[in-house]
Amino acid sequence: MGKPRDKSGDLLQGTLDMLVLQALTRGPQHGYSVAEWIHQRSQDVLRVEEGALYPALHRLELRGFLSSEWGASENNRRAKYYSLTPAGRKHLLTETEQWQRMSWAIKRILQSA
Amino acid sequence: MLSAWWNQVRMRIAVLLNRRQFERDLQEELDFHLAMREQSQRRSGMTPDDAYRSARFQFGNPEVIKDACRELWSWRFLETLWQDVWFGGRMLRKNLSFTALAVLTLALGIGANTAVFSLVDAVLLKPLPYARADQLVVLHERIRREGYEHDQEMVTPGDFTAWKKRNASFSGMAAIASRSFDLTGTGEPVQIEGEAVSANLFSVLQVEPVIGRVFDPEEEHSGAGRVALLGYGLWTSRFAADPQVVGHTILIDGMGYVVVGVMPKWFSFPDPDDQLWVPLALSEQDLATRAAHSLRVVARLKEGISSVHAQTQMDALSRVVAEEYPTTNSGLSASLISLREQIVGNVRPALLVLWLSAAFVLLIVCVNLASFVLTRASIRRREFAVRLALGAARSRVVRQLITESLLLSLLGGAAGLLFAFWGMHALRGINPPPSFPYISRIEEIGINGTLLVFVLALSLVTGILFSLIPALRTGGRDIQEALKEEDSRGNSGGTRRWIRSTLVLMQTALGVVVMIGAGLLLRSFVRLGTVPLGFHPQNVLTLRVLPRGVRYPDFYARLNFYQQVLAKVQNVAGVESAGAVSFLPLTRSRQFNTFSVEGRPLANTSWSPSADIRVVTPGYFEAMQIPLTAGRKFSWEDMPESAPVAIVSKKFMQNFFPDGGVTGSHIRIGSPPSSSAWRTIIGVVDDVPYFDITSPPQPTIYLPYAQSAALRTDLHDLAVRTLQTPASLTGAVRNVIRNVDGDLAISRVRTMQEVCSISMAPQRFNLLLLTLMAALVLFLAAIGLYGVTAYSVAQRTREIGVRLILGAAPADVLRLILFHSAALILFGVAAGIALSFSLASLMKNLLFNVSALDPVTYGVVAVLLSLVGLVACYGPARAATRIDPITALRYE
Repeated sequence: MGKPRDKSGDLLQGTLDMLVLQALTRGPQHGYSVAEWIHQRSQDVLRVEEGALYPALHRLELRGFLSSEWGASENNRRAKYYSLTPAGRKHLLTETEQWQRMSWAIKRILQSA
Repeated sequence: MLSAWWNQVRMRIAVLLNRRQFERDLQEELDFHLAMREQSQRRSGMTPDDAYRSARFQFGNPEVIKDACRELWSWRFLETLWQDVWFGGRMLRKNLSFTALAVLTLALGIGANTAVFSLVDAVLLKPLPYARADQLVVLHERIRREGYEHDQEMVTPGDFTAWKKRNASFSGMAAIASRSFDLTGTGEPVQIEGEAVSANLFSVLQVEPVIGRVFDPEEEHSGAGRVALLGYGLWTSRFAADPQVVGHTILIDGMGYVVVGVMPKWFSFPDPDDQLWVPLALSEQDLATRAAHSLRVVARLKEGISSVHAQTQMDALSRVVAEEYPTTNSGLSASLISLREQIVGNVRPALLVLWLSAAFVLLIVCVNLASFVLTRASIRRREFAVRLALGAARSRVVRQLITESLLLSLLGGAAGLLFAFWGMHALRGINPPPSFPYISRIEEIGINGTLLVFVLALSLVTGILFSLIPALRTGGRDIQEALKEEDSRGNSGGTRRWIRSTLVLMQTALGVVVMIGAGLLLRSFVRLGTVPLGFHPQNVLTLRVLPRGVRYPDFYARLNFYQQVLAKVQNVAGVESAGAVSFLPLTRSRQFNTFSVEGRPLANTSWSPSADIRVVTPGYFEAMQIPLTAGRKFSWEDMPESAPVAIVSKKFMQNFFPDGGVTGSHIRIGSPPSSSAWRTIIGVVDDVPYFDITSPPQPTIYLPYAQSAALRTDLHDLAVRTLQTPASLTGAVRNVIRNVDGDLAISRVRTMQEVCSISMAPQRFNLLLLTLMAALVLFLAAIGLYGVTAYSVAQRTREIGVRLILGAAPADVLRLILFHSAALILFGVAAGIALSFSLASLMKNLLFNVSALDPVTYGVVAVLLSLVGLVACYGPARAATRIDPITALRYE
């Protein structure tokens, strides 16, 4: 069984950051559920690779957008839970806004063609 | 923004400090992810085995993910630095003897520089502790008269009054008269140095007391109630820092003074040992007198007035005053000097020379270290070449070298700080006592923030300096060449020889300069020892006691005291003779008066001649053994009612009676309108340097105390000639004085030899420090030359082997090596002499009777340094002759 991966599944770093932040608006999550949530919400289109997810989580934590805490998971294992910090929330807002402007513009260009 | 950055740093530090925890967490986080994935696969119907494999397959290599995460948290730059430091530390540990020598060398250089800098900082660089200290000036009288010239004479009360009332340049001007006081009442009577000052002194200086108040203007008038201000030190030592003392009466010279305030701890003005201030109560009559130069004057420039401008105004004012009072004021003018210059001006030349020598020492240290590192770099050349070949960036290798050097220099700096700490302690120790201040603010030296920054900066600069040469060489060469060089030990390359020669040259030249400086000081010090004193300082005990207070209401009571005390001291077993004098020789005292000679009208000059006045008792000349060259000495027959007499010095005779006939002539103290009695000159004595040893003796008039009532001069010091060690009679002499009056403080108990020694303290201070520098320089230069020669021999091992095989005798090899070194040393010595010539003007002010270009000093230093250099080179050169040719050819 091959790795389910097509070109559209590759995410730009900034976009991935944004999605991770968005995933965490629902409350504290561990890495696995962040990946799963993105996968499900995109209706299986987007698949976050672990090799990109964890560095992204660490990077966001280092930049102060996330904070982390160890807690018990649903199956009672120790898991690292990430949650949004106020700075992260603010960052997500500006990023989202920018993304929406961009995608609107791109859509306009593609439609007009 | 900043807080976010700081947060990042904090998080990174947390990770750095707990690496293991971080690794564990990372592992656990990824494991959890895998487990969840596996579980979900199983739930979708996979066998456990398949689920396990599929989860891992999807996940990819966990090490790659971990690496990516680690990278995020790492301190890339710092970690490579840490690697460098760690590696450097290991290299230093592996070569302990090298490290020890390098650290010692650095510590000596940095320590010497730090100690000297602490002195320069405290004395020259730190601002004076007064508000707008740049406005404060000291005023002196500048005297230009035939036979008497002086730039910094004290000021007459009359001139002070005129200057104060008629100047346009100063916002305030205050007068100070040095006094000493006997503090009695509770406990042992003590003598306190202090000052009688104008009430406005404190407002001129802008200093506030810590408790109480300063003087009121009315308290300046004689007849006002007696008040006093205490110094902080006196307040704590004598009054247990009791704030209640303010408002209370204390006994000073047997009279009650009300304490009105306590001055701050740092305040001691104008002398470093001042601890008590009283108002300068001068009557209208006192304020008009122009006979005695008795006041020191300090003033504050008005806002916006420069001292040059003020000097011009004071020159004009001086001319006006001189026209009004031609007999006293011709040839006199006011001269301004900034307070700062007054306090530190005398030591500046010495400190600058010291600073320069310290800088030279540091340069030599750098040169030494550079040659050490160069030697080691050549040993490690293969290591570097291999590292370069294996792909290390050249910058990384250079950085490694610099890191190692910095590590060394920081170690050296730390050790140097210890040396400096010890050095500062020693500096404070060799400074003369406060009664003879040489370096006024030396007590302020110590380890402080400025100093630590200085040491750190010095260490870093030193490290970079001495690592630069070798580092540039290694870095600036390509790998092949480095590897090739490894094979070509046979002949040392041109650059290398050039660097080596430069190092030797610099070392020798700098060494010569410092040693010539020390040599010149040594020569002057020896010359100082040969200055004729005019007295014999051996076996003389001196002490200070002043009869004052209620028991001595008038001159006759004091005269009686001296008669009694001297007669009794004379009777102490072991005492040969005893006398008193207004001020001992070599104590920087000066009492200058005008006089006139009977039958000599003020002919072509409109002013009176001047001379130094010493008031003495009978027995003084005997006690000091000042030889009488003509006439007779004073005796207790010369009393107030008997015929007035005087004794003069040889210089006085030469200046004023060049044609003889001095004994029997009559002179009168004071300027012509003076009503003082004509005195008969009854004798001539040898010249004595009363001020200090470097100032030539002034023409001097001695007066018997019994006939000096009108001069109101106190006899400060007693001189007792003993038959045995003077110190052994201290107790007996003290007892005699106490039996006459137990309430008088006895101070400054010293032998005359100690007095002489203290008077040469500035010269000794300079000499000691510069000699220390010279010794350091010689030691470092010897080590350096040894190192450089050893390096060169190592470089030329194969060449020497070839020479030996081809039939060269060991003596030839010795000559080859030594000849080269000798040539370099000679060049270095020549360069050093040239440099010394150009720096000679710096030394001029520090020397006594020795030219700054003294050929003897230059010659001796040149020979000494060349010899030491050759001896240092001899060891390695000798070793070269013992090289085994076969081994040498196989060598690498």
